[in-house]
Amino acid sequence: MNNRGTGEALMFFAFMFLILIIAAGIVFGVSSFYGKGYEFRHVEAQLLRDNVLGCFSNNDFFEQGFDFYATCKINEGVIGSDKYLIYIRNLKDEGVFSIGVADYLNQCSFRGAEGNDDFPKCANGTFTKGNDNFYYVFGSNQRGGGVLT
Amino acid sequence: MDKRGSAGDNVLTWNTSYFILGVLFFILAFFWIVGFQDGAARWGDFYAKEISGIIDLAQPEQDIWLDVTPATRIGLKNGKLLSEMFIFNNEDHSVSVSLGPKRGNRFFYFNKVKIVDVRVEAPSGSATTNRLHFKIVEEK
Repeated sequence: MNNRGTGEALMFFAFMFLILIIAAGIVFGVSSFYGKGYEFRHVEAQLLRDNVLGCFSNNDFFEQGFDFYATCKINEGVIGSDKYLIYIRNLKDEGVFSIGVADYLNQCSFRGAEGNDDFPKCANGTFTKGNDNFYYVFGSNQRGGGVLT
Repeated sequence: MDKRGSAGDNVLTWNTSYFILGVLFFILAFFWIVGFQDGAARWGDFYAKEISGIIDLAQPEQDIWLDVTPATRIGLKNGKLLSEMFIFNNEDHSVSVSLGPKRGNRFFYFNKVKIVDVRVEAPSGSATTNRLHFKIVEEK
């Protein structure tokens, strides 16, 4: 007789499958109707660029023991959260200063990434300081999230 | 007879569990969808990101005044207090904007500053305008 109970237990997987299908349908429907979240990553990458390059012009990032976070007043907990890239390369001696997700350097250079929301948004270009030219890439992939209040 | 009874109990237990799970799912889905009502989630997302952008641009000792009339209109309609709508967390450097019931949108700012003196003044500036005020101070 106990075997009957086993059948009920097996229905749990079917039940969860149904719930997942319904949940996916609701999420898809709501997302289609209301659209995606407010796109801010590109703006944030530009803000990060402006802040860091402002600091870079007055400091030597390549100096040994340079405390980037304290000097540039950047929060380490946020930038170290695997959603950002700060990359500066000296075009003369190929010295590199890099913080964050190194793979964003590749992802930002993909031509197909421009119109693809799955890729991080970046600000890149060149910068002159003294007699040196620098290539920079600043990337952001922070989408924001929900929080219970 | 005992065996039949235990099997029946087992079926009842499973059915009750499914029912409770179904109700839980319904409640979660309900609150999630209600969050989109009146654009509460969209405006919350917008304000959280824009405010964090302002903080990233700001310098210590700056006073910020921001027109938040569309947000407060939605929040008040959903029963939120003005003091509950805009929450600044100086520990993890985040801004949370909650305009719907039980949930809000959070965004992190990278500028190493603290936010103090947060208040929403309503009405402020004009008879129909609500303004959010906060002050940027240096983080030691």
